[in-house]
Amino acid sequence: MSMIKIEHLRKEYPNVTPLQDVCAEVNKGDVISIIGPSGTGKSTLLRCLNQLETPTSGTVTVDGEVITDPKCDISKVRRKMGMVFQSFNLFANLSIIDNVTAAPVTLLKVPKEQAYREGMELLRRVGLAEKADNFPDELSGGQKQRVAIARAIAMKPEILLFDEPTSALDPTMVGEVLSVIRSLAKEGMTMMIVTHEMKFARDVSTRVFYMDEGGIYEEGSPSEIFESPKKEKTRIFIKRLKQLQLKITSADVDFVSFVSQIEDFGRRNLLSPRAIRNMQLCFEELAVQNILPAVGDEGLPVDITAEYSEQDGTAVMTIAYGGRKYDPLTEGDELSAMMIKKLANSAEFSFDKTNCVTVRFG
Amino acid sequence: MDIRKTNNGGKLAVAVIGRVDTSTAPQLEEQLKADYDSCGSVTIDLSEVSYISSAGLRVLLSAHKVMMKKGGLSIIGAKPELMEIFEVTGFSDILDISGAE
Amino acid sequence: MKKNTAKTDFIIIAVMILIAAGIAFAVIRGRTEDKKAKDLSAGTGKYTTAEDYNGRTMGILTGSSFEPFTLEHFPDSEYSYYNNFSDLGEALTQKKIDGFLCDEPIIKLMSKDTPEVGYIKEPMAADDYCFGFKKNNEKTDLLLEQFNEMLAELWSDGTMDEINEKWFGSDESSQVVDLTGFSGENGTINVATVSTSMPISYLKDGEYAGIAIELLERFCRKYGYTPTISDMDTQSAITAMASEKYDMCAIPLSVTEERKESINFSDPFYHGGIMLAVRADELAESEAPVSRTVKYTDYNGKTIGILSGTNMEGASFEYFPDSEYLYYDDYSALNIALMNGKIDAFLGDEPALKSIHSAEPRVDYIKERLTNNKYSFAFRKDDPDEAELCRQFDEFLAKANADGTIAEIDSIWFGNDDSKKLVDMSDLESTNGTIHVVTTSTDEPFSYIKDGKNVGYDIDVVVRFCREYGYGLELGDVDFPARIPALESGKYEFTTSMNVTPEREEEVMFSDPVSEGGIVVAVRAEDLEDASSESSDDIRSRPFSYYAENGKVGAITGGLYEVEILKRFPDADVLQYNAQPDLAIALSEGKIDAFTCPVSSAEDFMKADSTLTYLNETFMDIPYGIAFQKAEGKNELRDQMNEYLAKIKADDTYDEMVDIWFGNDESKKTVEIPTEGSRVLRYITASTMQPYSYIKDGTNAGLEVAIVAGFCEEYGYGLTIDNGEFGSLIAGVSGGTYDIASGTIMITEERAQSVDFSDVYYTTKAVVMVRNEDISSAEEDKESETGFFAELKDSFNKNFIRESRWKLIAEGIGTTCLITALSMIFGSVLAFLVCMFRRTGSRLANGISNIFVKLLQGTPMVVLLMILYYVVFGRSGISAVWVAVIGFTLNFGAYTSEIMRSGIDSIDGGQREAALALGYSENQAFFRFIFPQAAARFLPVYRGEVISLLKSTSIVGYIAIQDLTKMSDIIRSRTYEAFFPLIVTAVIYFLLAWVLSLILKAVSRMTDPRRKKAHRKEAA
Repeated sequence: MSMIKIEHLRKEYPNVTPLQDVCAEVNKGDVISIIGPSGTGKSTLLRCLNQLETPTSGTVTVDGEVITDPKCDISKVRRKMGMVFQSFNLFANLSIIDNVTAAPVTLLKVPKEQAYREGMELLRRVGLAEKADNFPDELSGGQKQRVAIARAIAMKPEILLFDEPTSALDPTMVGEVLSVIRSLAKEGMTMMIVTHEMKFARDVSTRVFYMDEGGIYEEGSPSEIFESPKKEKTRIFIKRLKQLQLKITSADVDFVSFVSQIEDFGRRNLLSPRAIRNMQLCFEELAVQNILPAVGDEGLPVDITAEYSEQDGTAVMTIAYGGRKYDPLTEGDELSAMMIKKLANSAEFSFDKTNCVTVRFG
Repeated sequence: MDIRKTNNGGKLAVAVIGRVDTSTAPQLEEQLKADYDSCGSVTIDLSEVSYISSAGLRVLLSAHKVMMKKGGLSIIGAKPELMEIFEVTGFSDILDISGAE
Repeated sequence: MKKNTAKTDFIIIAVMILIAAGIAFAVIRGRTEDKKAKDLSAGTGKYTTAEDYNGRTMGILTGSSFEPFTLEHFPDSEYSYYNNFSDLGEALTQKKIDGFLCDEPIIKLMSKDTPEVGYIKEPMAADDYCFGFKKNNEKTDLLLEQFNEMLAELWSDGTMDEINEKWFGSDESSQVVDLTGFSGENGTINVATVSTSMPISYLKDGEYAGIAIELLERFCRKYGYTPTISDMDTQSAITAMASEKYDMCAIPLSVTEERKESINFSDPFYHGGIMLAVRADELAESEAPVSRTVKYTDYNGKTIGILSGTNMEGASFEYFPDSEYLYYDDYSALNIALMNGKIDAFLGDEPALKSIHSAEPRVDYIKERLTNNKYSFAFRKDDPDEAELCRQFDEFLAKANADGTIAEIDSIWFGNDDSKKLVDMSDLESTNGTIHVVTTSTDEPFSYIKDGKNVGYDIDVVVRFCREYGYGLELGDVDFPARIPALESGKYEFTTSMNVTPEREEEVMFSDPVSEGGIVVAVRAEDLEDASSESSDDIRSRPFSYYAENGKVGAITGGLYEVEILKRFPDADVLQYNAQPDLAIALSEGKIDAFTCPVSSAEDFMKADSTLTYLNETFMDIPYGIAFQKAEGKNELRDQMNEYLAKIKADDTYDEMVDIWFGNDESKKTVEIPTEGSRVLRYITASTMQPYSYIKDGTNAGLEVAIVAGFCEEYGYGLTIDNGEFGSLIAGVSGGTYDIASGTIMITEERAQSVDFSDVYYTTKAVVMVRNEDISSAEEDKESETGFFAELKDSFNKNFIRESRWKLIAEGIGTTCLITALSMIFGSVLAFLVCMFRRTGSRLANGISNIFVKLLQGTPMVVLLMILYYVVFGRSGISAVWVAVIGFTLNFGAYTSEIMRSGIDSIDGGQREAALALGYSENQAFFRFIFPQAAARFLPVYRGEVISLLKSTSIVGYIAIQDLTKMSDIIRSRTYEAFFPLIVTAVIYFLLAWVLSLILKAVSRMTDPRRKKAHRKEAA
């Protein structure tokens, strides 16, 4: 029997209907990543599963119980479903250990001693046993999320729902949380994870839902979705994941923003720091220091794309711009040009109505 | 980017933290210029610098030109990523650069 | 941080106390300085001689002969020049100059019109006025001759005196000169005159007038000239004599050597003097010109204080139409405003002002009543039960008036014997029900609080009425404006005295008059005549309490006066002396301020020392008896004495004796003392008690001695007399050394245990001897020596210790705390319920809660309380305290519910979601996670609201509750001090708030989850 059955789920808001008609089945042992562009109802779907959102129509059946039925005692059902939030939501008025033990003691009537022991064990598992008596405001984001996971597990749920668990975390802390989730997957915990961490989704899931157009647009195994997506939008999405696209529209370029977008892209695709640096140098030396001043407003917009090929581990950065013909590699500042030429595998310039510089990094 | 300066009787020690790029290089230059008169030699510690672009290199070069007449400019603590840049551009020959321990 | 909180609190307290002390110091210092300043001008610092003015700023009439004179007599002064005497007068009153020289007639007139201007009676120089004539001119030489001729005639036949009298007199109609119809047969003369020298030469109604003008007129008529008169100032007039144009000048001209060079002077037409004009208030008493009587019209245009909610308002508008008005709540506030100069006068009922004046001599009143008023109790109109009650009351009044009860009440409450001013309500039984009477207990002598109880003229009347008709009594206390509303709300059956006015008669039904009085104008005592030194009448009408509370009282060691004084005034400062004469000496030397003695002794002391007098108030009645050695069983000697006494009282012997010894015929005052008899009685007497027992011409004399001697004669006893101190009389007899003792021994139970008394042989009254002057001058000297702390101690004593006033304060604190605590608890519960109600999410619930909160937040507490008390709970018997609790609960609840709501709203929604996701129900999520977190957030604001609540309870006085603030009002109305009670009340509120805050902080600390962490760590 499937653990969760979703039939024609529909969620309407006054201005938008994120879920139009969703049908799906979740089986025990499934680790489902839910990916897609923002605003496509990923979180909404998850929250409908434990009735934090009330669907407009359709049914959700959990373990045989129709939870969308008003007569259903939703609190009881929720105890079987753990949820981990983007903003952690630890109980600020309780200590860490109390956060973990509160629900089991009150709701499951677990004796305090036992709850305490089991709670400490869980904290140990997530690596935070020493913080048991601290309060949530004393912990970092990553620590809080790990506690949140421990709290959810303490109820011994049958399924865990993760609503963008790492989106609010500092990049340095994402790893620690992901590793906890990874270990849960290894143990066979049934999980549904809304996430933007594509690599992680690839590695950990058994199924991937790509959400778009008000429902599950395409679903399949990780390799199916990430390597060979069948449908158009999926393909575009996946492609976008792998491709960074930057557009400079004015001489007043938001330098820091672009630099950090490159950083994000690189991190998401698990590029090496050196590769990321090289791409940033490329952007800075070529686009910012030479091309922009040289071609002025005529050359706008400057389109920069970066793509990473997993097969051969190379990254390619393309800078396209208008205006007069201008080759930064030869006409630009010597130092800049030298740096790029020496660091890159190859750097080429072409002009066919538009300028184009292609730099390859190994 | 952060800069920490200490002046020990004419020996200026400058520690730079962060990225030295187009947006941050002017700040470094200003900081160095402010103390040229009051020091005889300058040591720039780049052990916490993760990135340097041509903008940064130019600042180092001009500092070198000034300090050359006095007690000199030395650069210490360069991480391997930075050393690569210095070597690739030939700056490691022009400037007194030592790597991170 | 937690440790520091307690420390910071202490620092804050310390700072606040220091600030309060600093303010106290400044204020009291200021008052002491004021008193000192007054001292200076009140006797020791006045100027009596002209020499005193040397060095001060002197005004000079330009071009007058006063200039050299001024310069000569006031060499060290600064000088300011003015053109005429009016200007000089104005400059003087405006303190631009301190004095100026002036002709006697002129300054006399000026002083009459402008009392602020006075003059030193001794003329500085004699000064004559003459007419001036051009020199070296035939015509004018003739004129001079003729003029002198005329003058001589006028002087000799007395016309001159008539003229002077006319022009210095008050008959203005006669003060005219007819300058028409001159024959002019001998030509015209050109005369220069001044027009500002009343009464010598001035302009009246546009015509020239004055002595000089009259003389001119007579001269012209007599010698046939027509005068052409031009006026100018003095200097010009003199210079004019040198010109061709003028022949003579008719001005108050004094002769000087210098002037003689350019003018020929006539003989004097006026003998005057040069006076030094000064400000009247600088003159020593004897110099002060007679000032006008102060009238109420003097205050029109000045700032008038109005007692809110009384008929004084209408009267104030009527009598002072051009004034500014300031409103005050009670007499005490008016008094303070008056003394501080914020208002210049206020209207009040005469009896009230009498009481006020005797307690606070700086407030006095113009004795003439503005109106005569009757005071009646007010009942509700159009209510048959009320009409019946009123009828009963009128019945009672009629009876009370007829049988002298009212007269008795009058003498008690309008009299000076403070010990009689008590009202006993304990025996009232509510056989026929209980009536509720509303009064204002800051209205001495009609209704006020003494020793924590309601007393007063009206209260006495009400209690007697209740006693008579079998009613129980409950009194309510509200401010003046609230009396009629309180009556109309149905809570009360009637009010105590109010002025009967036509407007009021439309609203309420008045009983027959209970007492009468009138409206008088209260002013600062210093404004009235002779106010600087109290007239002896004022002193004599002072109550003994004034001395007992403010000064030192003397008494004979072991005497009964001491006991009685301390009984009435336990805190009185009593000094002990051996004998009465010592007391009198101590009194006149200022060592004591009062002592009690029999009135006859008082009269004698007064004759001997005119600085002493005695108060009108009778201190106590004194029954005198003769003491005999105690006998077991029957006391033969004593019984015989009683027999004798009865006998002489029955025939006229006793009356004769009294007449002799209290009369003035010294020759009759002798006693024959039988020395031999069947038994010789040993008699000891205190022979310094004239006229009861004293030494006259070397032998014992006095009423007592006469009685004892007469007794011995009658029964054939011999008598030996020894003279002793009063203190040893009783001991002498009880010890057996003597058989009889006398010496104005008052019969008391205590003494009757040691001796056997005869019947009363004389009852006298004891009075209080005092000095014929203000004790406060001596008092002030002492105070200014000991200064700040003595004043503080004195204030403290008056406000807290007297009449156990601190008990009132304690009661007030209790009421305040009770109302605050109950309102806080119920209000919090209400707030919580409102929050829960809102949480149901229904729009209706939300709407209702919203309206409730907005309504209550928008209604001022005072208004809310009054609506509840007078409208909602008008007829119900619910106590005012509960009404207050309800009111504050609603208000506090409304504000707190908003606080709670915003606290709850501020909790991140994720907390609820996390709880729900785990499987908690909505309620569990709320109570376990959301509310505790919300509470931690809103508790600080909540604490502030509670403190606010505490302070806002201070308005409950409006609905007749006696809380801390009201109690301090009541004390203020007795002591007339503003500073002490108010500051202390503020400090008490601060302390209460601090304690409350500590308690709340402790509670919030106890519920802080982090404490549990600390505990767990310890346990683990």
